[in-house]
Amino acid sequence: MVEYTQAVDAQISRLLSLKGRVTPDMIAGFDPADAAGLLQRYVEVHAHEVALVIDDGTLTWASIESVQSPTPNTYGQVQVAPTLSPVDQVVGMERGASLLDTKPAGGKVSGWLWLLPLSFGVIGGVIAWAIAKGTNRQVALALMWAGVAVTIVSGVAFVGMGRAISPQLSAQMGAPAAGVTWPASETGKPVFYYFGTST
Amino acid sequence: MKPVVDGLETQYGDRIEFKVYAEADKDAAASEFAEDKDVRYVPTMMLVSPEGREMNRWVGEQAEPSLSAAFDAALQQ
Repeated sequence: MVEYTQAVDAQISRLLSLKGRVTPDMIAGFDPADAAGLLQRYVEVHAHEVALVIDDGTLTWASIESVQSPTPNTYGQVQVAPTLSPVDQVVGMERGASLLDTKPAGGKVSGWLWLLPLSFGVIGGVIAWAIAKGTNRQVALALMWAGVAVTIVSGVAFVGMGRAISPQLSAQMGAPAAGVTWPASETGKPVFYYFGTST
Repeated sequence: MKPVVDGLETQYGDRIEFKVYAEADKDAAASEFAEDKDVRYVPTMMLVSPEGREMNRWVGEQAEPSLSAAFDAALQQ
């Protein structure tokens, strides 16, 4: 029986963090049979810190399914789930194909609903939100914010166009036209010309 | 617009010469003259100084006060 030392523990921890798994032959300085016993001892020592299993002689992280649901112990207290490895934390995260694809977090919302905020701005966004909130709250909020964004963008564009046109309008509201010549008045008075209809 | 122009002519006719083309779109001569003066829409109105300098041009319906204000300004020059 070999002695389980701090150096052995550190070596196994380092191998586990680097490789994600440790086989007996990876532990330097020990026969594979002894190393297997050390791996077993490592699991016992760290049972309350991390979820580990020995599968076919290989020490590795426990799968996420085996640690997701804490179970009551015999004293009626809930055991704390062992810490997941960083890899399992990422694997276990809910995710979709994109930020807007939140299928794992809720039901599927029809893509046609996006036409509402895109066509009617805030009003369409609120309607789409009301329709979608029961199915997928995250997508419902995205629909509403899309409506707000469409309203802001179209409002800015409208004001910009108005400012671009207003100089022309003001020129038509009293400013003289350039390059137009008029005959001098025969009466010596200013002349008012009216081109229009009789009504 | 024509009634407004008529009212202005009554008010300013002794100090400002009024040339009214009320059928500018039907009268060929008036139409040609309007085209020469870059008139694209009716009604269009201009106030021209005695020397032949265009002082104001209005396109579209105008309120009587805006026209009379321009008349008063032109008469004070």
